[in-house]
Amino acid sequence: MPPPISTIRARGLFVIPRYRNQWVCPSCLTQSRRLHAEAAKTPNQSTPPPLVGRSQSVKSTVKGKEKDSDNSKWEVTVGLEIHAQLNASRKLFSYAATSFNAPPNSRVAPFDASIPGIQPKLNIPTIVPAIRAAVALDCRINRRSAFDRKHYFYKDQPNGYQITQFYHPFASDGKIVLNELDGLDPSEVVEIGIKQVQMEQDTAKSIFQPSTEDTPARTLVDLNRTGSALVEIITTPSLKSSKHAAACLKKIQSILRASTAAIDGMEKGGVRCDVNVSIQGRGLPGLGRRVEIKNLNSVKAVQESIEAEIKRQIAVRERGGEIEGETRGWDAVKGESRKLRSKEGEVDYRYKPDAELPPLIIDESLVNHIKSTLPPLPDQIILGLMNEPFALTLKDARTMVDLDDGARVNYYRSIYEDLSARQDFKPGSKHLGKLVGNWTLHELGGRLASSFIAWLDNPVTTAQMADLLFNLQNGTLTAGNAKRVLDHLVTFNDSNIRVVDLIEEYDLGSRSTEGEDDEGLIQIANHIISEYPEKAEQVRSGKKPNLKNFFIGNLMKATGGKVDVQACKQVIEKIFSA
Amino acid sequence: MAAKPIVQEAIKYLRNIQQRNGFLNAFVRVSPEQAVTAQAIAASQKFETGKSISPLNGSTFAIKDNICTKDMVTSCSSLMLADFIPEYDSAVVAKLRDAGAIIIGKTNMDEFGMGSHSTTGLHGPVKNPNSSKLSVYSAGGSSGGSAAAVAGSLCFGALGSDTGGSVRLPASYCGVVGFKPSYGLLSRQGVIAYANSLDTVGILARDVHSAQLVFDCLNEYDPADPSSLDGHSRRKIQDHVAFPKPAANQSCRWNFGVPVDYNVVEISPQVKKAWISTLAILRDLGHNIKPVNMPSTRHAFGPHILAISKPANGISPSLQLVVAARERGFGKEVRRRILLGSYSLTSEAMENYFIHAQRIRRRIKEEFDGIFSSPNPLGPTQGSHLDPGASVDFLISPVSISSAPNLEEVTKVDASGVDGYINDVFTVPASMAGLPAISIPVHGAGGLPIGLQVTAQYGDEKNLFEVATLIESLLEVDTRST
Repeated sequence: MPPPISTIRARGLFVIPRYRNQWVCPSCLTQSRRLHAEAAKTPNQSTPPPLVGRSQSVKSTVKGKEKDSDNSKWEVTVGLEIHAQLNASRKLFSYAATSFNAPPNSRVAPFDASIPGIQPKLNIPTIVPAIRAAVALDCRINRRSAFDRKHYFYKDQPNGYQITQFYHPFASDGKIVLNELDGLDPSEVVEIGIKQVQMEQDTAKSIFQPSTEDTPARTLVDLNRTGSALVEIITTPSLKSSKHAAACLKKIQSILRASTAAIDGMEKGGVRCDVNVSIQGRGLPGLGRRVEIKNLNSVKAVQESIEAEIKRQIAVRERGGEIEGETRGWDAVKGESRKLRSKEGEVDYRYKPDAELPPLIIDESLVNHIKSTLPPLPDQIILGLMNEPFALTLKDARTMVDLDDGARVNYYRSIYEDLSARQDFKPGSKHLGKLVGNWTLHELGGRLASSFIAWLDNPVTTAQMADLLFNLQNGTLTAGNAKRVLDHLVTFNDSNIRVVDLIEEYDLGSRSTEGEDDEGLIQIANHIISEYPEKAEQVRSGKKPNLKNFFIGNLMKATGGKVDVQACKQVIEKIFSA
Repeated sequence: MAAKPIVQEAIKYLRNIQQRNGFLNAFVRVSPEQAVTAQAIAASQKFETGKSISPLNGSTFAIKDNICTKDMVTSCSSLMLADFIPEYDSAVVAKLRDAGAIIIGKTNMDEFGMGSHSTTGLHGPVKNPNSSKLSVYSAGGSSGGSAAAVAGSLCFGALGSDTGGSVRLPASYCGVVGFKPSYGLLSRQGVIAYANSLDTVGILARDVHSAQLVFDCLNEYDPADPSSLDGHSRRKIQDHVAFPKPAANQSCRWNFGVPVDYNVVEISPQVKKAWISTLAILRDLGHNIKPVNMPSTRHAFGPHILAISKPANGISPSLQLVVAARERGFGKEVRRRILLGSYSLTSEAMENYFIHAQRIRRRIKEEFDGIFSSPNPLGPTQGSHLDPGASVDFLISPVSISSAPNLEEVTKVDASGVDGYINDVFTVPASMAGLPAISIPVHGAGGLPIGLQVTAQYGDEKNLFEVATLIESLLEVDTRST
């Protein structure tokens, strides 16, 4: 649950100034056009025939199944454009509430439906999560930004234009660092630039309905999403592989989630991604002509589509062909992309400053406030978990942070803190941080998974888990009985069950032993050994020394799991070495 | 106004509409008589409550058909919106109703406000009430229906919208007062946009005092309009223009600027005469008349077409229709301007046209700020007057190059395209700079009314009304004497 945004007093911290005429500074315009032009420029102007008539679709290949073309000859450059729904209760420019699955067209203000005469009105609280996202991505927050209209005609956009921030975004020049924590090789550290972060409106949701007996095939439009606040995050073209692109997307998603800027991930449609892919002969200056793949809705689709696109482009270039600037769509089911439109058919969005929305002035005090209240980001949390006193492995720390919005981290921490705070707690031989980690992730996690219980429905309270580990560490429970207690807690799903009561009720308390000199234990052991003379002989003769484990196991079983495995082992060892 | 006359007057206006609208074509929709009398009775009853009552209580108003009225079609004189019934009142209409005003009907206009003679709309042309049987004159546009309704005594006052002169020009042609306030003072919420950064709600009335009453009723911050000035900026304006110079006090002398660059060859002799004689009277009363240079006006002619057409592009996408429907639903002039606007925003043309037009617009603003004696309250703080002695309080100019032209002629000219824009030369600069401007009727010798325009510094409505009242009274004297 994200903290309520209303707790941040946005009012007064920043100023929406009186109306001023908007002004596109010509140098910005020239610059943005140059960027477009650069992308469209071909490195080699001696042009072979265009790829007319050839198959425009290409299959992605399963990794390693096919020998790739000679990748070393080509340098790959990928850039991402990520759209994330901001964690805001109302839309960007209308009072309608945002929703995830409200009945269709039930969250629509007149402005969202483009009723004539209704004007946009910036919902000030929506800028708070946007600033959180930008700050978490290490961006510079521009004091003054402005809104522009991007014109295009489509059924999901009743206004005929989208309000976005093309010329003057509110945040720019950020970065994220990809490293071992993101699944890269330990030697790899990659810095990815964030060119800009801009606020914009979301579009309507189109739902395709196949034809039925009564109705022809049609597309239904749900305006609930229309006008919801998005941030578009544009990376620099600095990613060198599909793997880096996937890691980058994952990282941005986890940063957005951790900063509470955007809580719904790709799985819920809250994050969507376009990729730009180009290849260039290794060592040559500049970038190749870029191809855009639009509307990717999973990390897998991003990775696969980039791989397929690289393959396609290499194949074209190696045939002596030329890459055409174009926009492609990805079919995740078929695992192939297809051409949507070529550069010539490219839409001219006719960007124009919105003439009635005043510029947005973000006061530094608001930015500072947001910086100081930003929750810790995933990397910080992972590193914290890997350091003493927790000392988890990278894999375990990652799992805790990645799964269920990091819910396990809090669970883990409160058990750890509970235990360390108990006066009579005996640290035991095991490292406490690792022990709690193991029991949280593997023992409990494994049991929940095999019982198909979601983490969020975890029946075991932190207090129960702490009691369990307390009794394990002080020797009251053996490892085996501790697991039995956990089984019980998972099965009965009752937060009122007390671990101490279970130990008493089922008589699970360990039998205290005097180690190898425990007479009672020696008696039982001797009895077991006498029941299996052949096996005992094989141990004695040294033929099968591992059969000792058979006797240790039987001794444990015979004592009802109440005797510590070490004591059983010592007794058996002693008898056989006598 | 006493109780009974309200109902009688409202009914009188309805009768006038019945008699004259068939010819004038000013109204495209008239409220049912029952609704009008019900409103009138409610207004009369307000008197009996003894509570404080707006001076507009019981007055009848006509509303231009691009200003939304609840439960009443608001079509912008376009086939495209011919069946658009808003579910809400625009902010200005709601304010009028709150004040007890009676909404008597919706007035004819150029389609989406694109035109200068109220001829491009779905409902056919408006006719000037000063027309005779022999010659029918243009009512001006685009708020021609509102101006003709006031001039023809079909209502007390009317709301129009002024983007580049759309209230001032028809006021001038029809012989009524047409007032365009400073940009951002009157809420545009519910006004179907033509050019967001130029559009203002305008007021048409038979005299300056009435126009001022309407303005005072509507002049309030509206949070629903992002371009509406907030309380902070309004206070700032008040501080800036807190030095009223009562015109009644003859020791006070206004400085009137006469933009020499406005003296274009196309001005008709009658208009020139009205302009000069007014200046002469003012001079004789002891006010100062100073020539001022506004060279950017010349530039304004070319690029202003683009400044006007640029937002046309905002209209086209705002209507959720397919291309074929646009072809059918939009008239010729609207289609032409949408194309022009769309072209000027294409990536190839953007720098040449849109950016250039913005540059010119800024230059025009700076020019005004350089001329007025009071600084722009919302402008940059540096008050860089090149020549303080040359600064003026108001500008006086014609509204158009001639009195109302013959309707038949302008319909021909309209078909030829750009020529029709020449009239905007006097009115567009104030729109570009967001300044208040008022057209005051002068009854010229030839019989047809002629309007003179007074333009003031941003937010200086108070003094503008005062000087407009002065000119109005002087001209009445003048008219009587000739």
